[in-house]
Amino acid sequence: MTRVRTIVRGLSGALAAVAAVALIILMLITVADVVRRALTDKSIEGAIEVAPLLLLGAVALGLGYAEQTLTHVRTSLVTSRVGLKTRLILRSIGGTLVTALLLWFSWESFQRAITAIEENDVTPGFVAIHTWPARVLVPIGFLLFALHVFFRLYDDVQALRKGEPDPRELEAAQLNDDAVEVHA
Amino acid sequence: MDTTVMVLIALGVFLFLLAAEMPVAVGLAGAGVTGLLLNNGFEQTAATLSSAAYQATSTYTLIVIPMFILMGVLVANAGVLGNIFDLAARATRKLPGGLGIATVLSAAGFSAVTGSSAAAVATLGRLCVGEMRRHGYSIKFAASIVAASGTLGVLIPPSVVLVIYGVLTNESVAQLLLAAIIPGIITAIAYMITIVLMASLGNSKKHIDSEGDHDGHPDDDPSGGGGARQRDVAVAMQANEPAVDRPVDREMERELDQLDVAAGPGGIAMAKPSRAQRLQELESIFYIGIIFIVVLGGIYGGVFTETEAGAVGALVAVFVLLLRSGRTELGLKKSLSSALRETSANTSMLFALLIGGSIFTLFLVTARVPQDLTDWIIGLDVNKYVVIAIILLVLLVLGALLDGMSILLLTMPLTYPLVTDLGFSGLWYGILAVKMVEIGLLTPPFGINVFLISGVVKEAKIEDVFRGVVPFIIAELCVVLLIILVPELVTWLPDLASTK
Repeated sequence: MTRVRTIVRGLSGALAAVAAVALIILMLITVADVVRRALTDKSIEGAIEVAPLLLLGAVALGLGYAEQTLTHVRTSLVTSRVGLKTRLILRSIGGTLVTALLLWFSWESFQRAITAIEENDVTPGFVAIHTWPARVLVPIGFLLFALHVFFRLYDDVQALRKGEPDPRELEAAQLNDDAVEVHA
Repeated sequence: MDTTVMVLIALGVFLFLLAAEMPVAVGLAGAGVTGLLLNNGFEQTAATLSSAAYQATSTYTLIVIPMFILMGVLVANAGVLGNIFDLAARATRKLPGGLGIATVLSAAGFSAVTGSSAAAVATLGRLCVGEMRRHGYSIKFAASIVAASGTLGVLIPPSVVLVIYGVLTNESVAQLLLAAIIPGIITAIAYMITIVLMASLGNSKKHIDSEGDHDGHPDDDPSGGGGARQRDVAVAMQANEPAVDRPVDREMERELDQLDVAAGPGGIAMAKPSRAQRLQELESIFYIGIIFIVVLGGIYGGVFTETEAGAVGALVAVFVLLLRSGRTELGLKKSLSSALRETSANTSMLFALLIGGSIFTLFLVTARVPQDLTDWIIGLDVNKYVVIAIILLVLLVLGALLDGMSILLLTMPLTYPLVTDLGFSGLWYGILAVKMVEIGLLTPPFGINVFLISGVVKEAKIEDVFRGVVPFIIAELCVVLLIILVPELVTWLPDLASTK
């Protein structure tokens, strides 16, 4: 389990870096389009069509990393006010439902990506660009998201079974240490 | 199944997932999926899931969101805020609560290029609270000022929350950004007045106290001035260390006579800055000004669209970071990689919310909930301002429980058609809704700015800061009332721009 977790964490971080590169490319393409239009009154062909695909790719690739770093918005409004056992039970049920939902998301978007490849889906607009390179990233993003939720679910169930302290507190401390390390 | 029952079940799923500490985005998606399963069946729900991410994300106008995030994170990492705070502190030193006012001004300036409340609180917290403490502000007062000032990032353009509102309601983002300028300025002024009142109307001993009076002069508060303490602080500032228990002996007084100290009668003493320091401050103001002018000037000058403005602003912010790389806390490489990682994670987080929200909205629309609700409320035949008051109250309560983006995603599909059907301007409602989100950043139990400042400044107790922000919440509510009574405060600038 630890090995799988290390691989998934590494993969999420690497894909987030790729997502950041996609955002930089998106920025440069958009600015280049503005400059070209100002100088020649003509847009860069395909800039408007490719931009949403880059955005979709960046969003999908960062989904796992956002969950890994607990960036996805959540509230401990209820869990912080109940006992440890109730908290772990609540989170375990929620985690199971969310993992299932995200896996379903991943499966359905995978099917859609396959259809996009088979049917040569292209973007609407003046320049037709294949959508599948961005679409295939969506199931990967949701799968990584689901795996991170599952890892936390696993920790919660283990803590519940063995009567251990709240694993989320240890994780938050670890994330805090990582942030301090970046600033050091 | 009856629509009301379906909606209640869907909301139940949402609330359960929220209570189980699951991501709000998945909570919204879960509620939407539950509703769609009940209303539309398995096939249609599966089809919705297969293309939800593509449908909610692959729109050209949405690229402004990651670009504004990138711009804000880059500027925050470029470290320009420190210089702006120094300049503002000198400009306001003669006023009661001068450093507090300087904090608000710094936040307003910072918000003009970041659009992020969290970035403002985190940066201001590190920077300003220590400085205010050194000048005798109580920790509660200092932390409350920073928590409240940070909310300006939500409203003052470029604001990501306003962009999301525009996306959800199809209101023009350019018009919304313009509409937010006057309310943003009024809010900043309201905060400054609150600080002046708190510092001068009998509360100075409570808020700006003898903790900073280390020479034993009881009447030596920021509203009253006082030479010895001022000199003490000046020496401390020169030595770059706290003024705590620093004796002022004759030798030191002689040194002080030689120092070029500028102290106002009602404020704090500050040593005159060196020429290099002044240049740095002007440089920072220039950077902030240039980004703001490029972004808003470009949009309204017709050079580029609001969608492209984010990318241009982000590129200018990259240059600012490059130019200031030698003076940043982390150095160029770490600043850039940290900014990019943060942007990537925040972009995915925001779009996950949009994807979840789009599924939830699809359920509501297919179940005809917004139309039915609108018909029902209009049929009640109550004064339309009563309806607005109820909606704002609901937003206020939700603001205490959820983050701003989630509130917009949850409520706009229902309330926007209703409000516009009642004859109100969508721009006006957008600003009011965002004001409610702002207040939500300060109210317990989910006042994220309060938690942030308590995280950054460890000695600031959460419960103390929640109490300390109450006067600022009252000031916010006064501004909301003013906007309700005078809608032109919101609509005047967009109307002016559209007639040109």
